[in-house]
Amino acid sequence: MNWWQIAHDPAGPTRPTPRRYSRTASTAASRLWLRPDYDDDSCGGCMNRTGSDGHKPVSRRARNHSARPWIAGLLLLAGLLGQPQPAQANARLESIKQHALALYTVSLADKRQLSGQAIVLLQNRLNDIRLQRTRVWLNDALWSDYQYNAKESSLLLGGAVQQLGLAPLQPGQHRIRLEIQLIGADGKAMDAITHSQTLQLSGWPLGVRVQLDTVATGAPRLGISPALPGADLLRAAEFELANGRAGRALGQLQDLAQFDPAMTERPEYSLQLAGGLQAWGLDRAAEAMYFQLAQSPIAGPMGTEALLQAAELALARGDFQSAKAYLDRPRQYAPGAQQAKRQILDYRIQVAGQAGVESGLNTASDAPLIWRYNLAVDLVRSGLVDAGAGLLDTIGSGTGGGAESRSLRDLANLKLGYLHLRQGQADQALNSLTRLPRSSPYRHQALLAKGWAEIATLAGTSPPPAQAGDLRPAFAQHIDRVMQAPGSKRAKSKALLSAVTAWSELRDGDPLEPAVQEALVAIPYALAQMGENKRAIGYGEIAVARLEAVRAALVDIHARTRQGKALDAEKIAASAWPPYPNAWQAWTNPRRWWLDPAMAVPDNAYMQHLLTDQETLTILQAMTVLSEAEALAMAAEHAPELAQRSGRLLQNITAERAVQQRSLNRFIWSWLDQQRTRTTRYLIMARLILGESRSRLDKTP
Amino acid sequence: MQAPTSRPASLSRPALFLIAALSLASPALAETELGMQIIGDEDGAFGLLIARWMESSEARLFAPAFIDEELEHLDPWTLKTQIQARQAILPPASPPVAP
Repeated sequence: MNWWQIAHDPAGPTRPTPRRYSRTASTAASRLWLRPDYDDDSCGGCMNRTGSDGHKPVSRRARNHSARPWIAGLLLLAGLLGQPQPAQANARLESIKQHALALYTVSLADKRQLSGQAIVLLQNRLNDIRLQRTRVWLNDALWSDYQYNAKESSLLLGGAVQQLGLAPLQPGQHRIRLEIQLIGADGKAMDAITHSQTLQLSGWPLGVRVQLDTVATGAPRLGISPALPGADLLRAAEFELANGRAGRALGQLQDLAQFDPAMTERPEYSLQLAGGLQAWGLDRAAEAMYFQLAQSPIAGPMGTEALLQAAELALARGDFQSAKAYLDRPRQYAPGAQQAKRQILDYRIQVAGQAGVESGLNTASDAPLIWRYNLAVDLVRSGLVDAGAGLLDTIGSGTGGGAESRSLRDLANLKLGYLHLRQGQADQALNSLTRLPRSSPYRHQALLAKGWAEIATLAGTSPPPAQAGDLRPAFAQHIDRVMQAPGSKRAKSKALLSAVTAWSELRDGDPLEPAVQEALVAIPYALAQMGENKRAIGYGEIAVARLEAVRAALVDIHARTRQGKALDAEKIAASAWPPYPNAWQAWTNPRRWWLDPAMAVPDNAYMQHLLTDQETLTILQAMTVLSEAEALAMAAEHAPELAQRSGRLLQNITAERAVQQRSLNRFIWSWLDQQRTRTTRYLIMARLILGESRSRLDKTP
Repeated sequence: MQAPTSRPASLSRPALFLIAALSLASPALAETELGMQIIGDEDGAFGLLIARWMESSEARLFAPAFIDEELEHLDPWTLKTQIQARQAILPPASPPVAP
């Protein structure tokens, strides 16, 4: 089974809906190549249609392969390569991905494609020893020098496989030498292991398999053999997928389909291919692939998993009818995770149909946390706020799990805190907000909200009604309302001091952060209202100094970035994507400059905020996708009948890179402008508060 | 020291505020750029000097700096990439993050 064979099932997705994520926007192009009316007979028609734009039809030799149904399927795709390019950015990117994958697949139909090259695989069978660097010499010439980052080293443990690349080797004898540097379980570098061997390569495809194990000697040792097992290629694709290089994984899976067609009949191949398509942002193709797998009589539990994934993808693009159609199909769901996932999807479909799901929500605790979080979002948005808040509370009060679970838990507590705050439930808000640990990335947002929750009982919790002439910022209105509320001054001061205590933790945070900026201004405002003018002046001076420095730096940076690239997206994507721990330290500055009396703002002080913005991440991902598509197109360029199409695709990729960089530039300018505007507003408030506090102090006898 | 009152203190020296306001009233801080207008001390209450603090509905939120309080769906790619990005900006001395 291959992705190009997939057509829409009548029960499948029926209506195009807006995408959640810009990186994977649904396009007319995606619907084109998935449309169900292609069959073998239409192949010639497709190819003829391409003649109008000057493309040569594929060669007779390539067409002869159409005896295989999957080859016929991929040839159909070639007919789509002449379709007009969609105009929108997301559609263009999706079109490039589809075309690159299709060209590469078509190019593989020609057996010559990988002649004169050998695939080199490396398997690390050690459980606690990590790879640091691998160097390979072919016939005494250095061919590969690969240094692993921390994430890659972790992924390549306990039997994982890496495809080192395509080595330029012809059938015959070759001398191969390896040197591998390792890091022991104690984190210290070990002595490098070297190995030399002469291999006799013959047949097709050519493969070199390197194995690192401790067999026989008990110490790490290297072995080399002329082999290319399909199962190892599948694991190599799994490694690339886990490492965030979905395009590369898809290329390897297509190679595998060529070298070992029997492997493509296995459900794990289809599941991985669907996962690769999904990870590369080709969601519609992934959904169809999952559904195809679910219909396979030999898929077993993987088929059930695939059906659940197809339904989830349909829900993600808002197509509840298709999701329901998937789940209505008779299927055996295994107890535990599969039944829990099914339950979550059922709930989400019910919510979409405005049916209540107040009871039984917590029974689906085996479902992935992110599925449950998204159900909570659906519930709140649908007006079932209590049920949604209850589910967020369950998620937020959980324990254990990895980084993703912790992040989701913190996010659930933060959102729940703000939800309670908006509903006037100060105690519940505090309860949720105080669950966030000190290490949480959402800690600052939580501390700011915690301050508001501390005064919510006195100030009132709902947003103040708009009053003519009362256009003060909300934080000023709330603090004023505390002072105006009935009750003792002592109680009011106590509430305000509790808020100031929460905000004080933010005071020495990065003054580029919105939460820190608001705290810098709200603290002296609250203190001034309590009559603590000297303290208000002290805090006010700090606020003015830091906000002035930030504003001046933002003005300067904005002016300079207009002259050129603020960030070279292609460079970052090539050298440090997907991001791994400490990968971006060259672009950021960890110095806490605002604690230094000189207040000298580093040129790259803003980078850590910019680099972690979702818009930046999406563009970096797009750049990576373009590089992967470029590699596929360049590989396809070697097939003579595809050279022209590949060349044009490569031109499109180059053009799209420029478009993405321009998008990033525009986003950065706009982002800097927003930061400057917000900072200026807080700076004005800080100056006014400082002035008022000094004025009051002057009047004090 | 002036004792706190149950009402916001009246601003008896608006000139001081106007000086502060004027110090910022450069062309770069024009109303069109900032979305707000400095109007003086007509209401005699703290914070009333700045009108149209934010023109959007965010002005009435508890934390006007935030625009990200609403519940949004998450997808695994976004979640994972945000975690990776936060780890990528950590300085080298930071403790390793558990996978």
